[in-house]
Amino acid sequence: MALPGVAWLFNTTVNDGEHNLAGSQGSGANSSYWRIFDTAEDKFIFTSDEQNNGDSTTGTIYPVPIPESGSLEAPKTFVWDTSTSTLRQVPLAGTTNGLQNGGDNQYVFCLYFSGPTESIPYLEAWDNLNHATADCAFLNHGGVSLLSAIATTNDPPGSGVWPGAALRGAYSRILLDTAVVPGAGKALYFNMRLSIPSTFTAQTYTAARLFTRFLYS
Amino acid sequence: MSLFWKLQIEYEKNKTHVTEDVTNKSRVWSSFRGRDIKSIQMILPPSQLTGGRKGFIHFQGYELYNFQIEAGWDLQAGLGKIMAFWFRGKVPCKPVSENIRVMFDKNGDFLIDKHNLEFGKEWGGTAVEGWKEGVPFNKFFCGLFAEKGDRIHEPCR
Repeated sequence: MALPGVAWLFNTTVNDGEHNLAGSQGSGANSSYWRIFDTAEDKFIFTSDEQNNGDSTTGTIYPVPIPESGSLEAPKTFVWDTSTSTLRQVPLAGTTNGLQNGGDNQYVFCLYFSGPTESIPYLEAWDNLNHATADCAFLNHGGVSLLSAIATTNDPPGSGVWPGAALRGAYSRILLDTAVVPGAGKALYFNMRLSIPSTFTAQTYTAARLFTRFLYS
Repeated sequence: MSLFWKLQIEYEKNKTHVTEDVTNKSRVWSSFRGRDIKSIQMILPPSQLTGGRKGFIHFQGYELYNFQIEAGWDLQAGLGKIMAFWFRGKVPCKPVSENIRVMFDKNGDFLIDKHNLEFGKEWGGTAVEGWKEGVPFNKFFCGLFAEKGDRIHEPCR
């Protein structure tokens, strides 16, 4: 069993449809909904409601406002597509507390494994490529991560305002399925959201890194 | 050719198989016969843990054995990365597994930690695959040893 390949994908439509993958690029039903995340250049970005699909990455970027009280879910979620210099919206991301089409959606973000694993893959978030610390402003706000995710490989969350689990290094992470990835490979799905509390301090630039961890032999 | 990072599997009747360097990401454990295993062992490069001498991980006498590579893919790196090796042995007649994890640090050295876990719940409370049958006996043990056979860590029980 060799190291399986992993492709990260995101759904750019409001159609909650499974990526019927045939290989990591996908060519089956619904594949037009999905795009491959360019791991060399792209990144996720959370913005306010003013940001729109197709906006240029060189134009105005509207940050998530810090609320006066309580917490605010990031209204919109995008992928910063470097190759086209545009922001591609992921409209099904997040919960109904956002200002797009988030909610009880199943097929939003995808990790496609091309071969088998010997453990269920985890989804984790870290500060950097060392995968040793998770203490940036978003992952450690008074010991609490502001980034939450929920595995949806087998079912939608079951609620439009799903709580999910905070992502913070190996302290808090999610299993993406209920069984190991089989020999033929498999697409695993999740949704995620960022919530900003009133106690948050504005950041000029802080990034967290998503990571999947698994066993093979 | 490096002597290190090769998994050695000793079967009953003194047959032994040695894998390629497991760090090359190819098939390792899953390509070997799954029964009658007496011991598994891997020779490790000199490290601070072993006083600058060659070391080896050794498991012997367990009811079941397992060896796995912990790997990960970063969203913004685009390449798989080996994070650690796991050696596992199921204690004879008990629902417990003894596990040693060998991790790499950023200086090229390695660290180990040991975990006694409920059998079938080795990965965040979920099961791992790939167990192979051993030849259990009472004097089962595992540990990190240095060249010349000095035990560096006490057996994990």
